[in-house]
Amino acid sequence: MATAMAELPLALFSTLAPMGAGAFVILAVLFSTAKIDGDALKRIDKMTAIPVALVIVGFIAAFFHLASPLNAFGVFAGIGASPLSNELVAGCVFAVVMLVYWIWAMTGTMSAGARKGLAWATAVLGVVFAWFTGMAYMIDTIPSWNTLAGPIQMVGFALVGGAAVAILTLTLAKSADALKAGTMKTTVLVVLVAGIVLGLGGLAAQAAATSGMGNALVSGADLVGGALMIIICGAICLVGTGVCDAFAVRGAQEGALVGISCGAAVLAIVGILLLRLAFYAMQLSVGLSIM
Amino acid sequence: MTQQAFYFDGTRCTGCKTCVFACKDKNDLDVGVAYRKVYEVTGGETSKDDNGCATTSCYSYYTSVACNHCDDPACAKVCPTGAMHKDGDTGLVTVDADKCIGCGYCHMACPYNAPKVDREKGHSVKCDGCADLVAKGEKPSCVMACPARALDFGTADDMAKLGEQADSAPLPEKSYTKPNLYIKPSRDAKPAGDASAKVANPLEVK
Repeated sequence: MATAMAELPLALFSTLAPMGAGAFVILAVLFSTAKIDGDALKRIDKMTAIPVALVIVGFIAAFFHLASPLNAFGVFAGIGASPLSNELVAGCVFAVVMLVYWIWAMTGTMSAGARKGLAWATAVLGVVFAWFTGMAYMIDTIPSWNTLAGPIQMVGFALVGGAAVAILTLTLAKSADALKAGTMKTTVLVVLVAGIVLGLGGLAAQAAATSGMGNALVSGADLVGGALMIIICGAICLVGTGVCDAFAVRGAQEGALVGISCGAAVLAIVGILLLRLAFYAMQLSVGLSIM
Repeated sequence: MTQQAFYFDGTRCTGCKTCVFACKDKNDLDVGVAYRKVYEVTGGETSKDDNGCATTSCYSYYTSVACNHCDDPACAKVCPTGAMHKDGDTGLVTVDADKCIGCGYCHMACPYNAPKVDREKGHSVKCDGCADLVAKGEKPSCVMACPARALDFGTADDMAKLGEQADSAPLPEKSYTKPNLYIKPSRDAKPAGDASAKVANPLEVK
């Protein structure tokens, strides 16, 4: 677990930024399916500061991980060759589109068509960014990470965490009623379930594979055993997020909505952070790499 | 390009770690940073038969490892800025401190535990094959210091005449990075990837 704690800034980055990105999936579906009046749109745009802030805080955490952040622009030199460069390019493209969308929406001059198009572009780029964040750890000298289970769990975390952030955003914007309409309710439940299944399924597949590996320094079974408690706690938090949010969209009373959606978002952050730490704790090299 | 390489004779190494300290001295390395490490590899078991006679398969041997300046270096392959690169003339893998962001990706990827991020210096650090000494026609400090003459350094072609490309435990299979480390293995050395051969001094080599 010492390995995992050493990677705390990266764990924070890979928790918060994809969560913020995933929120745009629900927002994009909302803008495509629901009729929302101008005042509500203004409130939603204001509260969209929450996912935007999560993305920005995530990137700041990643920045603090670097020993020489002032050289960071150099990462673009490795596009196509280094998985880390690819991840950062995907992240930057997503972040720029997200900021364009949000700033334009905040000016109040965005047409419905542009809103729909840009929200979908942000959502798709957000999911692509989450996928590339997982891909960054697919290194052939680290077999416990070199599996598609990594990107799959990242997309899962982005979906379930993003849904929790979106529900909180809409609740605080006093627009949670929009989530209770037939199409939106089904969409939110599908996204929550898909996120939990992909996130926990991906991590479980990775843990199962790792437990059968070993090198001259550690056995995979010991690594998985060491991470087991935080995996269980993380999984409970993630399922708790799903339960709270399902309750929120299935007709929780107005007074309880803020508390439930806040609780769900906190559970999502804690749960995904624990599961990301578990991921880092299961680093097993083909040789002698010691984190 | 004339690729440079290390040679390690596992039949001569006594595990004294003079190579480790000669390297630390030459490169002025602080506590917690070592470019060369000596891995103590052990395994096997002792058992008694029905007559009470003890038999043992226990073994212990040393492997001295620094950067192997691989033909296909995992560190350079993942480096996002190109700071980690192979020198065009010598094939030595070195860090361009002005480009390095200190992300630690090279440290994660290298299966020889060679690069490490020095946060005080603000970039990755590792063995550069004592490029300054080599340019003067000398050998790296670890090689010159070894009292058992278990280490050597020279062109990959010359080193390949002394031993086989490193493919024994605790090292990874040579196919991953094609290391420029040639070894005459200890009699007890296990094949690369044999997880039954354990490193007995993990804290020392971290």
